[in-house]
Amino acid sequence: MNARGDGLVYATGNTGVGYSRIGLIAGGTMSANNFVPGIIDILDYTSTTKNKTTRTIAGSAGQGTSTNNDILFGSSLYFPPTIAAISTIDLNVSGANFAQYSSFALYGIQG
Amino acid sequence: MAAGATYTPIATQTLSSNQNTVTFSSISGIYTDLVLIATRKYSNVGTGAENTFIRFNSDSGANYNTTYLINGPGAGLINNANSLYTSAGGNEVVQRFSVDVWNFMNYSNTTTYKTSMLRMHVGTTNMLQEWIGIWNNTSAINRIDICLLYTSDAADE
Repeated sequence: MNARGDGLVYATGNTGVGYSRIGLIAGGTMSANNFVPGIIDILDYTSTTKNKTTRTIAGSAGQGTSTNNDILFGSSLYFPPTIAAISTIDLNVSGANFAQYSSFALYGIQG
Repeated sequence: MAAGATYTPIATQTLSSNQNTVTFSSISGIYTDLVLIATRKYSNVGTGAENTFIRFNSDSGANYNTTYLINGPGAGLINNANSLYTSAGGNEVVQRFSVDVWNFMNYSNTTTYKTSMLRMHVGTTNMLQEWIGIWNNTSAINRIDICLLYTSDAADE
């Protein structure tokens, strides 16, 4: 679900694709120093019996226009033919590259 | 949720009396991100909700943008403010507080504007909120002020 600063809210989804769509990033109309915060939770990632689920909360607070002000709530399901623990995560942006100074941090939660 | 070894406690504050501003200062730059977990409410019970504001490094310039989502379609934006707007705290019942998780991403770098997120819930009003903030400044964050109302900025309310 994506909510925009002008009050519009819309939802979309993909099924059976070769990736998990996890959110949005700042685009070309954002200022050069303006990056998008986001948190992706990958639940029970070491399970060998369950398909993997993710939850994403992200957003932008860009300058000037409502199209640069978004809040996104997303979730995805990874269901390979053979269930395995996740040992590699590739992050990819469609149609472009991550900009210089983009940063990513992977944390493990022990509980 | 158990924090585990990933989180390092930095500072805690529990107010012994009503207070307008809470400050975390002299924040070390050695961490990757900051997480601030709070339970809070407005001291004037039943007088209406008040926004809460955040400033970094005591910067009171018009350098803050906010996007917010409140209870579904109530989305909006606030640009060029002199503080980040965040959620209203709970105010209805004396002993019921909001539940807040703030994330401040990559707070110590000196090349990008600083981003933050707040997820907040007030059980008494069934209020669920998400706030995204940008501080249009590339300085490392070393001080965070959380304020119910900047007395010199009453027009912001």
